[in-house]
Amino acid sequence: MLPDITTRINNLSKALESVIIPAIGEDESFAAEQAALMLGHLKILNEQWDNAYLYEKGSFDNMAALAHTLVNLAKGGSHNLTKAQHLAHALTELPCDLPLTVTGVSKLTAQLGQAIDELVRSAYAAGSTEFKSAMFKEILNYNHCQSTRERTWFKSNNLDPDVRDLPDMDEMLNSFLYIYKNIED
Amino acid sequence: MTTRALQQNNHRPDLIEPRMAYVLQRKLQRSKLGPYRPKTASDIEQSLTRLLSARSMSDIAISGVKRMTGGASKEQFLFTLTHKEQSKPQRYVLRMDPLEGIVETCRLREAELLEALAGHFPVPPILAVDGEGEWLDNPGLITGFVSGVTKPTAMDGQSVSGIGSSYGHYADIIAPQFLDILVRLHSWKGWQNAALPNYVIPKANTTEAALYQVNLWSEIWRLDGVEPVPLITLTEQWLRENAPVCAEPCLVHCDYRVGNFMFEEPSGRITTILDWELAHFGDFHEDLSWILQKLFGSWNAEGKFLVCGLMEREKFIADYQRLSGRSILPEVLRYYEVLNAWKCAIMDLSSAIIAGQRSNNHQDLLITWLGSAGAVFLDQIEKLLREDTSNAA
Repeated sequence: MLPDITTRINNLSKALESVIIPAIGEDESFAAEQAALMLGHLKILNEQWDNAYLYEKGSFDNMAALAHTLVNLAKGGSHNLTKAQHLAHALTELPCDLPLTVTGVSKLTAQLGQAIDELVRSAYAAGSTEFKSAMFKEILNYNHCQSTRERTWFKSNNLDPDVRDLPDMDEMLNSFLYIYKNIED
Repeated sequence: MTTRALQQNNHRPDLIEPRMAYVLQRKLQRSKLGPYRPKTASDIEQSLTRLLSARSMSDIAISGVKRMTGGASKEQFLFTLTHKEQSKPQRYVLRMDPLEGIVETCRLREAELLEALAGHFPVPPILAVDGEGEWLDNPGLITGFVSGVTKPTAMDGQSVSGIGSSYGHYADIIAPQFLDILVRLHSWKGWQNAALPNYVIPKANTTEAALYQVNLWSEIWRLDGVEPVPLITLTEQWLRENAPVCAEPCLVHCDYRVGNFMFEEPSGRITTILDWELAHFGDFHEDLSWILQKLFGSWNAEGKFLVCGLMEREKFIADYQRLSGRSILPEVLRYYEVLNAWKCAIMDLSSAIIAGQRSNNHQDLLITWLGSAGAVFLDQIEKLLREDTSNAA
């Protein structure tokens, strides 16, 4: 068996804690601060790496569901047609089988996000009140699911004042509560 | 007069301060010079000597150059200086821009403002500024060292950039000073006679105060954006559509919070207000809503949330109104809460991440750590916008 990622991250942390940090002189506060940040990043990396694909896949699913919803909401309206068609086209261009890498999935998420951005801008420039209102509500609903996932993904950073409200990593990754459900045709 | 803008007035691309537009473009160019290597003490001595010589100082002796920790946006060094006209050693602080950071600001503007505020507010004195990095290699500002601490030395559990700090028994001593300085800042009229050529004053009784900020931060998102975030784009549109009228623009600090002032121990007297880099002329609600952000607060032993670790929200709002004679408009306060959360999300989700990706900061590890808080602000925006759904479209 080859050394796995968890083992190597743990070894990195141990070397930092037991050898490198004690060797940093008292007047080297910048080096000490950097070392402490390295330890913090390593701890979070250890929590994340094995779930990274599942996490990115969930982010993609949420963005794709939002794209489907907005396309459906735009149907029947005379405004936003071009940008809605563009978004619908972006959905049809998605591969049948998703890439198997975090980077590959993330790239597809970003492509859909670009098309959604264009539709949002177009709606505010010339969209109907009804469409804007429905789009507004659905982006907030999407954000609720997705930002909870993102906050949970980084809950160990100690920067979230409402960390007590967050699920644990497994629940966030596997519960339907954090999956944005698109509005069907 | 209505506090809401008419939709046709909200797309005014001309409303961006020229100096800030220039600084953003300059950053774009400088970002290509990376990766950034943190400066050594020797680098700093040489750079300082070049700058101070250019300021006609002679017999310059620089010693004790020491990097200051923290600081996610500027590289900061403490040093001791003597020169021909100053034989007694004095300590100074150099604040210098890395190639890019979590926020891009202007040392020239900061220096102009500190000059204007000197004698009126507790601000550090200026020794020299290098607005374009002609002598320092990077834009930088040298100010006098002011004694004090940003957090009680005896308290533990403090985190990066002072965020999440608690003041313990100092809270009751510091809170009235914190409010008094803020109130005086917002009523300060000295800017009318000050030399502030790199600032623009928004027109009174218009939506310009808000739109200058929306334009600036949407441009930053456009230039630094890493990947699309639907709520960021939606919020920009909402901010344009709901921009409030500002009756009387005033100077706003815009980073007035825990960690950005120094006080003496054990007296608790505030000695300096730091980090004026985000200051501009705008709506006083913008400062208030920044201060009220949850990220900058902490919980006391009784489980009550304290604004900036100092006082409860209701007391902060009531005391500000009583001391300033101003009325805080809840609708405008909420608007600026949205705007500030949006600004923070942009800093975290674009500038911090792209600077880290390009290794262009002296604190790559810190800014990517801070960048991981982006979703905290998205969550705040969502909650605030849900309160305003009836006005959304």
